Amino acid sequence: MENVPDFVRELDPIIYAIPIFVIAVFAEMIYARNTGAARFDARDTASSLLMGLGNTVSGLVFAGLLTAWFMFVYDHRFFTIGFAWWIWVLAFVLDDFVYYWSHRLAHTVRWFWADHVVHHSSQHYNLTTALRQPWLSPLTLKFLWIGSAMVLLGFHPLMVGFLGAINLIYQFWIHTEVIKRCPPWFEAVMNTPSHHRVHHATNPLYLDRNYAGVFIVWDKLFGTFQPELEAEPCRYGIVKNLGTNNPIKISMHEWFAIVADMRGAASLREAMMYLLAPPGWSPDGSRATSKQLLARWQARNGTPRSEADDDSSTRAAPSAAE
Amino acid sequence: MMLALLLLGSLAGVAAMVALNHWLGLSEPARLRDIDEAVERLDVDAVGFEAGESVLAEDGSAALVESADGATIGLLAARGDQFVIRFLTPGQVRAARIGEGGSLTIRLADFTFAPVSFPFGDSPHIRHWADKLNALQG
Repeated sequence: MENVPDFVRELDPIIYAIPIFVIAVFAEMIYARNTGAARFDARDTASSLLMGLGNTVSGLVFAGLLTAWFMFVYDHRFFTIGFAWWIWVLAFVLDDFVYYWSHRLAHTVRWFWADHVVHHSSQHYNLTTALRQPWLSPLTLKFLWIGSAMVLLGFHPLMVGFLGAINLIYQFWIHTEVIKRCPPWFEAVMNTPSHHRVHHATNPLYLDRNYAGVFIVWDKLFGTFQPELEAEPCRYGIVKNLGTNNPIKISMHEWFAIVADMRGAASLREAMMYLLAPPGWSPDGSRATSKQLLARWQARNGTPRSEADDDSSTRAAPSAAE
Repeated sequence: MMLALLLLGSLAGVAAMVALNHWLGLSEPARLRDIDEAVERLDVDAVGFEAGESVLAEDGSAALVESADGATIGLLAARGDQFVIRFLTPGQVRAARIGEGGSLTIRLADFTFAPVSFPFGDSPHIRHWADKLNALQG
């Protein structure tokens, strides 16, 4: 193996973060008990935590396959980039950029949503929600292309894996209602609890917004940013919420729904649309995509005005007078 | 061996967090105040819902609201401290059965929605709603 730093080979950041996750969840629960600033339901908590545990086990099951694939791609890389300190900084930013687009696809293509929906399937928003993760992500085959982009470019797979873990660890703390707003400079650049609450909300105004992992600037650059508005409190979950806490059903429900829809499709085109169109697409319009829900909501509430003139991508809730 | 220990330790951690959640009593079962609240929730969820005939469970744990045009029945059911909503159209109901003590058990053709027991109390309309729901069987 080339001169990969020892800590990259030997240290799994997630393993070290787990005790911090546990302590933080305990602290959030106790804080919630004393202040009412967060909501928990024991059955929801159990499923979120079991989904997290299952995700870790699944990671071990698929580790061999993924390692073999990424090393194969690395053997065919365009450049050899190395491990200089500034490469780490560059790679972290680039990894977050890739995360933004991968995450955006996870919301806008049903095939990928079938996997990612697991993370959004709780109607609660607390630190345990961060741990509610899918079990079968490699089956989306995203790792074959968007997940391989940096490795193909020449970043070592262990570096990409290490930075991906740091990215995920960062995202843990933003899954909370306890922290209302961070300092303005921080809100402007970084993903925060406020920005990510919007991402987990099902209010039509908030659907498919704020895909960022660490840096919210990607959403501002690519027109998907939406600030949290006091007039529009977040309602969490998915458009059609689940009436179960069974982790297996949570894990599989959208895959089954896709298969059922495709089996009932009237043509190959229709079947492919069920698979690849945005979630909520249907040939007869009997369901609604995020865009359709937003259009319906806007028609009901009046055309939204932009709160920030310099950011036309920002949607705003209509005022009471409207 | 190490892996098995890690898994057991993780399961113990999960159990401890769930136990703390339960012990702290951080949630109350969701309950509807009245039928207006049920209609409002359906309206927000569907981004537009014109309510017709409706009925509220005796304990506020569920509600059934038919749309004004009769095409859909909105079902709200408490799951823990939240409500889950389904807009029922033909083919989505597996069965609605009247049980002892004036309750209506509704099973949907939807494996993500566990059967809901709807306490009607002494309401005389239980048969009427059971028939409406059973008319939506696939």
